[in-house]
Amino acid sequence: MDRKVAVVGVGNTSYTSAKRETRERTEVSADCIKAGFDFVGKGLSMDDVDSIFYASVDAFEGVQRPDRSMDCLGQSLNKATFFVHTGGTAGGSAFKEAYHSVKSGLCDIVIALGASTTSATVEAQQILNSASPPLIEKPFGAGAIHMAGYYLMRYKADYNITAEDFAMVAAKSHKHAVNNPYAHIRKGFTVEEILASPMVCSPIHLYEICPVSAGATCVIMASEEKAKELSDTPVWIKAIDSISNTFLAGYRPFTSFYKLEILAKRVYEKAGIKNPLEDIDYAELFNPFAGFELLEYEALGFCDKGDAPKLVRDGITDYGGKLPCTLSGGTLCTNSGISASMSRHAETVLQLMGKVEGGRQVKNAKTGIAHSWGGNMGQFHTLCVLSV
Amino acid sequence: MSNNVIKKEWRFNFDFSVASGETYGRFFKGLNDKKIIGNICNNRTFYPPKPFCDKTLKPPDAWLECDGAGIVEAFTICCEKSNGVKFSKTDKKPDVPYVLGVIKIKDSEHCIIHFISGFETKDVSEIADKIEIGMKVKPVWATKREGEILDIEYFEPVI
Amino acid sequence: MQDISYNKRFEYNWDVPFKVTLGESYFRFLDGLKNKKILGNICPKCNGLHVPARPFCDKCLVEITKWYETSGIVTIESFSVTYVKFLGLPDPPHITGIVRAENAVTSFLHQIGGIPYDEPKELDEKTKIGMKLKPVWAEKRIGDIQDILYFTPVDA
Repeated sequence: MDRKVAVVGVGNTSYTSAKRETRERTEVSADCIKAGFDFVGKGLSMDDVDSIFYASVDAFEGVQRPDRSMDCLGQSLNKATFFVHTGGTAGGSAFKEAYHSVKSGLCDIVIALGASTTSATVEAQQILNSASPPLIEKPFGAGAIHMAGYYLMRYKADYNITAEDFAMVAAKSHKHAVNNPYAHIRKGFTVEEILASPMVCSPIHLYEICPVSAGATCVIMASEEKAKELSDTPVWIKAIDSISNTFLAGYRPFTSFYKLEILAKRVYEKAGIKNPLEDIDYAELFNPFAGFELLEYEALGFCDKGDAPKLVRDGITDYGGKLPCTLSGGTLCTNSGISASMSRHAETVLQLMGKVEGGRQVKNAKTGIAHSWGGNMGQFHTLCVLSV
Repeated sequence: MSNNVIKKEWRFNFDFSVASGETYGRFFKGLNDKKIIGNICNNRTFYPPKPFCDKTLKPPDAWLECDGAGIVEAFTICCEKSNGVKFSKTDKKPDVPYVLGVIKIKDSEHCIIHFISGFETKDVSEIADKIEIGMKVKPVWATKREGEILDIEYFEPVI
Repeated sequence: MQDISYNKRFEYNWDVPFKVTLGESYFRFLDGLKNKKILGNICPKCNGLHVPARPFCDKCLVEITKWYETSGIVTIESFSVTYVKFLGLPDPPHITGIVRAENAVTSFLHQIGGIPYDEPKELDEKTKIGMKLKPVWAEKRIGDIQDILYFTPVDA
């Protein structure tokens, strides 16, 4: 069976620092799903849901297979629940699995929940390092930030990118996060403040790095028939796919986000996107390290290699520009490890529905993309095209 | 090839710190005060309390309190020591044999797992004779309580 | 809204030991380090040199059986200087990088050291992509990737 699938609802909780979280893990998820039901309205409840796809990482939750621990996923109501774990991309992957279940005709209404609260995590580095290949990479204590450092140092050297170029794209996210009620870091750091913040791993400054946040995001998906009953503004999933990289970081070239380049070609073809800058109205990109957004513009075909900083300087990817990107503030300002990779989809959906809060609503956005990156320091990407 | 049996060893050592939230926080504070806290969620009674209704995901409607007396719904007598099993942060391991029970407190819709003890014998068949499903039990409180589940040392038969 | 005055934090720990079998290829590679040798192996199908040596070629999916001893000289593909203290990492400044041996089709992760500096921030400029490095060996070697303490510029 081949049928259309729409997102009809989005749920968000507030996000805070993992250390300040006062809600029990399952309460965060329950609040999130309830917000999703309230968003849809029409009396939608767990009774109507066929299946739930829950994204998280065991060691962020302090419990093995944390899906089992979630009463709010409808276990007592005989629902089918699935745990999706592809590391940092798990939110994007759960979104994809939820889509498959409706697309195939097996389910009519499903929830994809990204709720790694990370609030159980005392020291995120312990967990991140455990994702390293144990025999020949784990001993160096490298984590996601080191991988980011390798990509960005190489980018800097190959294309004469400056520290200011990186700081400018970071400042764009910080500026918009101030107006996003669900963002965690809402300080509005300027280019000067970012450049003056401590260098953590070259070339990345502290304010170019995401926080460890606690919170959750969910989306509610429905088949065409149900979507039309439930929503006046359904957002259709046009194309979605994901791609893998090697387990060992040493086996990966660090010269570009070449895996995303391949993935974008695959997804664009399915969605009929020929000229990304013309055909896409809004993009939410995964930027736990601010400079990533530049590499992503290039991999996604918004510009030629080395030209991404120009898109930022010219305001092309800012509010009011030709292709506004990551106006939520992105993963840079809110990263709960996992749900950040579903927040990209949720935020794009809200933009296309015309329901974004805080004066960040893009006018007449009809086609949007949502990207996620992660899994053992960037082993996977997911990319989704959504449209009204 | 014999070389391929060479092993490499490492450890995962993770520290965790989790928030109880209000509902479990009330429950643990109750234990500290020798009380069992429950709640009503969507017209259903729960000891221990639930943070939200499974169906509506709404927060609880009212808090309840009782002395913790209940009945044994199921149990098992554990006869072998198990290495690597931690019973609490103090790593207190009960001597075998010990009984783990499923206990329904008052009119609760769900149960609580806890030790059942106080049989005054270490003989497995004697314990088996003294415990049965449907038997009434009540909590025995630890002298030193810290607001955690082992503030109840165990449940004992009500004679 | 929750009454957060009831919130209480519970602390606990997972401490889990693991033990894995190396298999022949990784064993020979790590054993080579014990003898100050960085060994690679060559795929019989695509002729790609893999350093570190590995059991199979991920492109051709064939077993790699032809062994090759490299000169030990590697080239920096990329690197990052860590300026703050990370759990489990040496004191800053500290450099890790992706390095490639000879004309290998794969690179690997290691530490870079022995680059002189007055101010730590100079390391960003003094370490260069494309720079040639040689291994600095641990006195006591046990057949582990850290038998190489770090890689250092060949002219150092």
